[in-house]
Amino acid sequence: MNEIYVELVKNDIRDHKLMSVVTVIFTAVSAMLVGLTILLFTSLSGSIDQLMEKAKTPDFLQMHAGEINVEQIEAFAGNHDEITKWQVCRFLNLNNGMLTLGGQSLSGNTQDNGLCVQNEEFDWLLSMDNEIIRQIQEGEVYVPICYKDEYGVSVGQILEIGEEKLRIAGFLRDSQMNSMMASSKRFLVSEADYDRLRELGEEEYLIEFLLSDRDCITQITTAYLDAGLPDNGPAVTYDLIRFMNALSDGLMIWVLFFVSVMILLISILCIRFLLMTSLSRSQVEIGTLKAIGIGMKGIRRIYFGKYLILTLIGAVSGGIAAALVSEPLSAGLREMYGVDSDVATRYLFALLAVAATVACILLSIHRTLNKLKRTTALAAMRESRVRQGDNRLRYLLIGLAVCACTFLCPVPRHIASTLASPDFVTYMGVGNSDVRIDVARQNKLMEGTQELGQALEQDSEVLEYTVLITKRFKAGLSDGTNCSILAELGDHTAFPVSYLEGTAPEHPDEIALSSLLAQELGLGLSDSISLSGRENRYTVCGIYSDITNGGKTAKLSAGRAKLEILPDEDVMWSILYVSLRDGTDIAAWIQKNGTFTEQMGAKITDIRTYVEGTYGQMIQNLDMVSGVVIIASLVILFTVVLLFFRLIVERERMDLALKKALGFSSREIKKAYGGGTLPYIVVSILLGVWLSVVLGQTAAGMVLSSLGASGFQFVTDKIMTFAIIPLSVCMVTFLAIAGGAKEVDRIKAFEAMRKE
Amino acid sequence: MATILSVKDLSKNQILHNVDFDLHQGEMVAIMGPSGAGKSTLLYNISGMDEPDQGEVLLDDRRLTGLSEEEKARLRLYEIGFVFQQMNTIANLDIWGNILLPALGSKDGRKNKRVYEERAKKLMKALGIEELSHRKVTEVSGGQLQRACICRSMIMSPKLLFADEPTGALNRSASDEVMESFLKLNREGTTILMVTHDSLVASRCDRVLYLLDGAIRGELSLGKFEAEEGKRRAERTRKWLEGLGW
Repeated sequence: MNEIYVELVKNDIRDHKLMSVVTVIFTAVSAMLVGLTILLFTSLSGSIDQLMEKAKTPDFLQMHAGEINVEQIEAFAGNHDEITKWQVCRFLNLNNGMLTLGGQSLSGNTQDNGLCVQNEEFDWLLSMDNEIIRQIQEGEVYVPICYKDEYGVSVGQILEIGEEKLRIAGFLRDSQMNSMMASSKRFLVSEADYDRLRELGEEEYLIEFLLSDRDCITQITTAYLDAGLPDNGPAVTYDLIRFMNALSDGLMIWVLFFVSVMILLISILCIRFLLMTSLSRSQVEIGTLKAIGIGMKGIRRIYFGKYLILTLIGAVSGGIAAALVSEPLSAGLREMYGVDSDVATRYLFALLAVAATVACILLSIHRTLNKLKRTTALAAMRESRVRQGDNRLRYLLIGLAVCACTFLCPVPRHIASTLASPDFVTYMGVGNSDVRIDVARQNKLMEGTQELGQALEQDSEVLEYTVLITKRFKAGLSDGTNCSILAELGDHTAFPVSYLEGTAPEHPDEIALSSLLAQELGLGLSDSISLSGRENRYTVCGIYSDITNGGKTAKLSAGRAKLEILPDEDVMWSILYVSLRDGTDIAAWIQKNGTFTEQMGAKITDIRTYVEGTYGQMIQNLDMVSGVVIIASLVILFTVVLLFFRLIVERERMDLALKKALGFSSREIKKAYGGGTLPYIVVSILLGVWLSVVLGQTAAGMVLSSLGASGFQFVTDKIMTFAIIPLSVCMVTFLAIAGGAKEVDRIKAFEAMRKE
Repeated sequence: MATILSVKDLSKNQILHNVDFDLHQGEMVAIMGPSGAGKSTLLYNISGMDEPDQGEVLLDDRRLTGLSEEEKARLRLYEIGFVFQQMNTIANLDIWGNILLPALGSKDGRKNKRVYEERAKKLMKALGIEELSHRKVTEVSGGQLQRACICRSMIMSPKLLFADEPTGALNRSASDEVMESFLKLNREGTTILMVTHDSLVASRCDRVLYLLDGAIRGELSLGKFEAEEGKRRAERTRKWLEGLGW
């Protein structure tokens, strides 16, 4: 009897085309978003792992500016069996002002740009084929891939370093510094060019280690510090590098995941409603089947079979769409990390995710089909057909769809605008000011810092400034061991970062810890900690997010007078945060003071440029995701409204026929529908906007807390939230209503004369 | 004759009051009565579609009351056939599909597809609708559709056939066609119990039960129907009904 069964399902699909198409669309959109999320997720994680594996990224590295003693490091490595390989890499830090890439100056660039040569043992810089770049000709340079699009450069163009010119031979992937979140960028040159250009910059060192077991990183870091080895810079671990790499694109995937889950829930809700409508319409048929002895199993099989076919069609279309859409979205990933060769695994995971989506939908259908039990065989015996459910539920669902769409569409934009806001940096461990001046390690660091401070004091355009000095301390742990931390000394109330808990240190015996450090030390608010060279214990007064300098930092309160007497050798670097008076042209001020700060060996940065440089790629990715989300949401909205409006018209068919019989025209009826629905839609949109602002905070918070930035105030994209999205939602809703109301034209006046 | 269905002391919702009657193997019985007398309620309760408040129904000495929904469904599939006044066909299937539908619910039907297809063909031929196999349910007359429904009710070869006003929605000639089909099946051994408003239809049955205010108030035994005595039986039935206040 299989063909009857197939016939029944086939004919049912044909006779309820709209409902069937809508079910397919819901499934397809959900499957597309879920599949896309997984495709991107597996591409990213696979690519990063592959790049880091190929490049042999160090497990632990210590940056250092100043003299180094290689023998000491060699002895240290020899004493620790966990260290399998080690090397000292040179990095020639260049002043951005002297760099011109493809005719464009890098003076506004916020990264520490410099030259390096290819490493010998590990931490290799890779070509665009993810091969180790071995042949570097004299006069040639390989440029970090992230600058390819930013500066629109291509092979054959020139990198100018002052008077010197190097031809761009290609682009490189740097597993350590690929991400814009990493603050340095390495340009690869030949040994000969490096030696020749050495005079133009300041040489720094990366002391790198490969370990046999990554779990002993903390142990090695502590041992390194205890050995008194060069430590005049931040220390970075493999996990942090991986985290930085994953962050910018990971955020896009997070947002996509969040939206996918929301859309899937909406789809399940709508498909469930469609099924209930269909069951309600088929009361008599179901009753008949029961009356002739077909049990629950058989009836369930008929309905389940129909939805199985529809969801499978949807899943296949959604899966194909996901594969197509993932292409442009993963183009950036491919360029940054190279193509992950394991395409089969990627598609297998995406397939599993799509299958899970279908399973969720089918599970909901299966549960809804339990309602069949309520229909008795008696229904078949009754003459009149059971009236279908109330229209209020349909209006409610239209309202819900409008509200959900208005709420959902701006979320990626909210996150993007939050990232783009200068306030956001305060959640990442950076004070919000107009300008930041970094004074790097040098002979007269404190003298330079003081001179800069005096100059700022006298500058009438400067409203306020503060000096923060970074010093390394050893923190005593409860188990008697030590841990190396970078602490910033100064007035932390002037340009405060945002605190997840507590406040900035104001008293000399208070300390604030970054969340990563607090976690590692196992300390919370009001706990105390001892620091090397200090008699008193410090009480933890605040915890903040920080991703700079390895993420494990602390803040101590210190008056300016106290800072001035610090000896140079104690200090690692200093930062001056400056805010300018209203109306001051920041770019002009930076230009005016650029030469002076350069003379002091300092780097001057406009905070807005810093934000653009660091989060630009993320914002760009989010904008792309935003587009996908808006289109998917509007498609769902159009479908929901069109379908439910059709159902509303169908339910009122007799009343409408009567109206026509009484002389109302189709146009008048449709107008009345539009007018009647308008306030309802407006209320739903207003509710969606309100939810978007209130719940959007929570939604964006969930996503951004993955960056380690919790408890932030998010920034609403006002034009998007209050104008573009509501207007688009309104327009799509009325287009769908117009489509649904077309059914009114088909209703004939004589239908009113028929017996219901 | 052996009893196939036994209804004992059946009561339901103040509609049926202590109804008692037996149905014998090979009989064709009509239940008549004015609107609201409880005819359909009686049919729902003795066919296992509804559960009586009191009393019991025995089908071949097996209690029908108290069975689970699935057990009742199995019973309706294999042992009881149904013909509805509104036909209640599945609009998505053609005549052929509708007739074979009950077999969909049975393992035997799925296993022995050919056997059931042959049976469907025979039934359709016997009831004169063999040409309508691939017509949609909306493309045939009321009488033809009801005959297709009778074929559907007989596809699993039930012992007992219930019919709720099977000619209620039909004109006289269609009604005659349907009654001819019932008589044919009855002659072949199917026991039939039908509810009807039509005294002419009732006069063709072996026995007529008169239901009033939820209780059986009269019984008329007519014996097996022979075409030549049709008029006389109709007259006798009409008079009997008049005597009961019909």
